[in-house]
Amino acid sequence: MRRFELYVAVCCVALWTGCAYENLSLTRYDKGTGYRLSNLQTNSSSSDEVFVVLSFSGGGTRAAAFSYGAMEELAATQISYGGTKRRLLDEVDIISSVSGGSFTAAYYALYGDRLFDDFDKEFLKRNVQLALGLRVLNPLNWPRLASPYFDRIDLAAEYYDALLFKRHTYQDLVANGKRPFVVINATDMSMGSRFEFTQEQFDLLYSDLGSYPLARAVAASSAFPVLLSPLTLKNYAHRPDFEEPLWITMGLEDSDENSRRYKIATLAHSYENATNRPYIHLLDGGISDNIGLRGPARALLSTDGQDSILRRINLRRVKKLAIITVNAKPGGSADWDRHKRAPGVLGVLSTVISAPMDNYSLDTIDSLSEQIDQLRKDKQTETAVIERMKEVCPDVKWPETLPDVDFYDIELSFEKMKDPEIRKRLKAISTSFHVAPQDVELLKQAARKLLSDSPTFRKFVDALN
Amino acid sequence: MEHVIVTYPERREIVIDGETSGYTGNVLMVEKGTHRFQLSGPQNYKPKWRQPVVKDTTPASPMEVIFEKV
Repeated sequence: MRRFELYVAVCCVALWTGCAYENLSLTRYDKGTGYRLSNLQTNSSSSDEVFVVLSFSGGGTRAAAFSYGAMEELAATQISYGGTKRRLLDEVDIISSVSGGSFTAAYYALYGDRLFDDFDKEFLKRNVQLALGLRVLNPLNWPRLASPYFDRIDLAAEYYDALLFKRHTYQDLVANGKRPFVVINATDMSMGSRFEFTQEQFDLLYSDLGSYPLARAVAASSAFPVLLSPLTLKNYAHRPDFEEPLWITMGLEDSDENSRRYKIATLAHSYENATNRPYIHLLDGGISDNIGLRGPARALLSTDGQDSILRRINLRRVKKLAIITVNAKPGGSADWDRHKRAPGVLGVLSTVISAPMDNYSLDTIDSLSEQIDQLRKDKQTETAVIERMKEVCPDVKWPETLPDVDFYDIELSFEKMKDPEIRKRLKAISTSFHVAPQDVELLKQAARKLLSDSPTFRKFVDALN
Repeated sequence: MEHVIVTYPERREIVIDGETSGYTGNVLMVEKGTHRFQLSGPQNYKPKWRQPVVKDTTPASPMEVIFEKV
């Protein structure tokens, strides 16, 4: 009887404590403070002239290991742009990540080169899947899970915090003050759209990202539907000091001229109505963008928002821009078509969730490549016209008016692995938070080889030496 | 992508939609749509801002946004 009473007492305490962490309100609105690209300095020897963006895809530990391998290769690549020798990794300005890739990105943002000392042991080669499962099955957690304000995602966030992020918050990244600016992406469940863990995004919720735990951002980014529950943020009523960013106000005018911009502005504007949307529920970032590339693509093609790369190009600060997409999409199809029997519920669910993600990702890569090609062609045309005019009127000084930027877009994917055996092995690695140690090594080596063998990457490195 | 050139008698920094975004006399790239153009620094120009819908431009024929000195 005493044991039962003790259990009930423990359950009552657990129920009482079964409330998830809640994001805090801003004390005042200030668009110059907090976790923003403009508040992070380039490393002392690097500059904005060389601007490097990495995007890390989803795919559980497979994606985390693949992106880790790319980081290793960047660390091993020396450049001497501007006369100072340094690692190419030190030139990375932005990492945009989703789901599994967010673990590598956030760990590097927080601990820097410690990533290469212990991330392999602490995360990549650990059976995180099992640990999460055991936490859910632990009876001590059941009362908390019975609370409507505490769910599986909160357990996952607690575990990631204990394992990797040790109560660190975004304020620690601001205090660190160094790039890369890591943009962890989740999906706004109601709108089906991308949600960034940046202060600029949190401004729209009148909330302080600085006090928010990194572990919870990573948990939201990797909250795979059904297996993990959505993560909830509170949307605070805006105080009078809040000013809507002008790009939103302008974008709301564009319903006829630019429906994409109008849609993005409408979405951003929707957060400003805390009465209508007092809570925001977030799911895996892969649902809205499974390669983490949509943010960088928009930053390159629009002056909207504080992190716009196009603005930096317009300011003539950027001379060489590399966008490296680390895409751990498995790419292989299941063997369903070999059997008469139709796939089961899990197979159907997997297709329903992943097929739209994959198609959307391919569209993003294609669209970005086309836009970069167009930017290159515009500059080539201008240069050719000026050359021709110089021949006709040699005494006239013709101004070069378009920014002169060299673009390098690089995609690492299993499809690009030339060795068919290795390609097949890579594609067969399932999406899970448990990958066999030999497969982790294979993924790391594959990323390094794909990057070092990439002709565009070699061209980029040559241009920096 | 659309192209704009902002003109003013002196070289000045330009603010597009509230953010510093380039310099007068350079061709600037913006997304198609409505944008508010201003100059940063002293308010010795008019109008205070211009807010055109930028569309149908090319690098060779950018939209011209003109400010005058006062």
